[in-house]
Amino acid sequence: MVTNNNVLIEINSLKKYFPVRSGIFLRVKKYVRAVDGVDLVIKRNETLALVGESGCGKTTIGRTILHLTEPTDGEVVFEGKNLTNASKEELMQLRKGMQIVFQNPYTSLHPRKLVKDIVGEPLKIHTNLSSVEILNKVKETLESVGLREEHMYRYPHEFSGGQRQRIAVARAIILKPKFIVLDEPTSALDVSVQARILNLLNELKEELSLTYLFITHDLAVVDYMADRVAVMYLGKIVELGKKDDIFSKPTHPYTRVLEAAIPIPDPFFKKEKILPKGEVPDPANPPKGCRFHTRCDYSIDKCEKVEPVLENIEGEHYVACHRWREIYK
Amino acid sequence: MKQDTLSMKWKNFVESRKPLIDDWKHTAYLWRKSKLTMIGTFVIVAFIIIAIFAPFIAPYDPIAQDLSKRLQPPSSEHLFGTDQFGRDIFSRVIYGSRIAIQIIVLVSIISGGIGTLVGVFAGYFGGVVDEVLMRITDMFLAFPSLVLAMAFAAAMGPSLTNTIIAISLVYWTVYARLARAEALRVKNMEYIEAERAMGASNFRIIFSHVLPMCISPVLVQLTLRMGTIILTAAGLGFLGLGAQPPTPEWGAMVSDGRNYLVDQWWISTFPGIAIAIVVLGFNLLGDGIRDMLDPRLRR
Repeated sequence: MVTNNNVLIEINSLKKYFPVRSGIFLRVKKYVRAVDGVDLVIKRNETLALVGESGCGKTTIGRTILHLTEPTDGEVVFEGKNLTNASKEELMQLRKGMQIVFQNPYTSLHPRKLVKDIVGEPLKIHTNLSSVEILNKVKETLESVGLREEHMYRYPHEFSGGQRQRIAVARAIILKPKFIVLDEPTSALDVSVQARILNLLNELKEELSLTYLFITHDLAVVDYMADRVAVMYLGKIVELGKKDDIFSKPTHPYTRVLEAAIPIPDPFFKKEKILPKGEVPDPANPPKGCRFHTRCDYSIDKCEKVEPVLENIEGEHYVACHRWREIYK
Repeated sequence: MKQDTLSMKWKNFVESRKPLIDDWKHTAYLWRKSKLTMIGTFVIVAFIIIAIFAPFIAPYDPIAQDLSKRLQPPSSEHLFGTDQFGRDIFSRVIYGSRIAIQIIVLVSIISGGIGTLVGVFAGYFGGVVDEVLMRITDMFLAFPSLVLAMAFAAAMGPSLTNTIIAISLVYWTVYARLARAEALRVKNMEYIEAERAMGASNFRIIFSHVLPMCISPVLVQLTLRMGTIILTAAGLGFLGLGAQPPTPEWGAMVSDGRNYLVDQWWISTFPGIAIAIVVLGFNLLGDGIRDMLDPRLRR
């Protein structure tokens, strides 16, 4: 294990399999391999974007890092402490340092609680502050996310989607964590509101020197937020690199397909369409060899037999493809 | 100056609660729209008032016997007549409302409490806990409720306290199933997951986040069931397994009069009417509350 002061989180060969039970006796028949051997390093004060289509395991990675689901195999190391074998007390301490903002602000806030109780909840769990001190803290935090004091005594249903997401962000930052998982924080919002939430997140990152794991399927948002990008396909990382590398020189065929799907706001712009063949294969029964070969235009015999590993192209740019040398120009 | 800030604060307070007040206004509007719910409410309010002021309303002592005046028909002196011991039936019916309220309140608290707790634990933890708790619930549900209540009452010996315990032991299953269903729905919501991400204990999550969500369906069911509780208590009383004489319990009073039913109809009839009216009132009110809380009827 490399102990580096620059590294906040290290994920080593993380695996998460969900059992599929069927039949009369509910025997485990097969496993859905949501995350299948992922190595990843998240550096301090960076925003690492995790992109991929629905069901590729990106949300599962986020939840496993926070220990909301137990990993099947592999380990997560947060600031040099291994989360997978941490005791209850240690885990409690570590939880103060990491938080999550969910995708849907309509289901992530308790409908029967006042905003002050929702935002103050982490303080009630982790500190012994009096209710007045908590109230002051909540007020401060709400102001830092662009809400006002009078909002404290309202219920979530009285707010718009953007405001609700601000409340969720306030709840995540009130303990001053180091790391926040942003699980598609803008996907459920209107486009006009998305930009404001993203700006808020960027400001908070500067102010509180936060580290983000930004999970999304929207590459336009990635362009705006990320320092580095990891592209996932069926539980594996297929390409990893600095944002500029990924956007200017996409190398994995899957990244190229994703890139081509970014809408360009110009009605007269005609662009060449690259569409992958067929559908995403069943993650319970992934293809042998390279997992993308069933849909890949560059597929050769080797791709069907040998699984490619992440190879370094240059600098911090990695790709898992047998033919990257031909594609990379 | 001080007055000013106080009134400002009050204004702010009212302003911040405005949506809540509007919500109540809307509820009141729905209530006024439904005649049957209004009738139910009035019946139950009257029932409660009668129970509270029973000593002032009743003209006679409900258990004082006067054998010289036995089996008298309804008259201006004895509004509902007298029974075979010369006790005033009107006074007994009035005092009977106190017994009925006692049974309803205690049974609701005990069975609602047990049921909600069992249901929430089963639903939240799932797996083995769920299986064990729910199979126990199924065992209770396998018997007809009145038969089971009779068995409990007979086993523990007939008395008012045992009637309450017996009925509670029979009815908690309904609330357990309701609370479990709600807990199953709530435990997978993201706000519970967020709570776990903060590091909250299971205890905290259950009692301050899951339980409050399970209470409203249980409360509606409780009001709907209050009529049934009275009927069951009266049934047990009628069979001699409930409150013992001379306690003025409505079911026992109906039972007392059944040997005289042909010639002295009033002994059984008036307590019977009281049972019918109160059960009807609770059913109308329960239906009304269920409809008012139905989100499809709300804005």
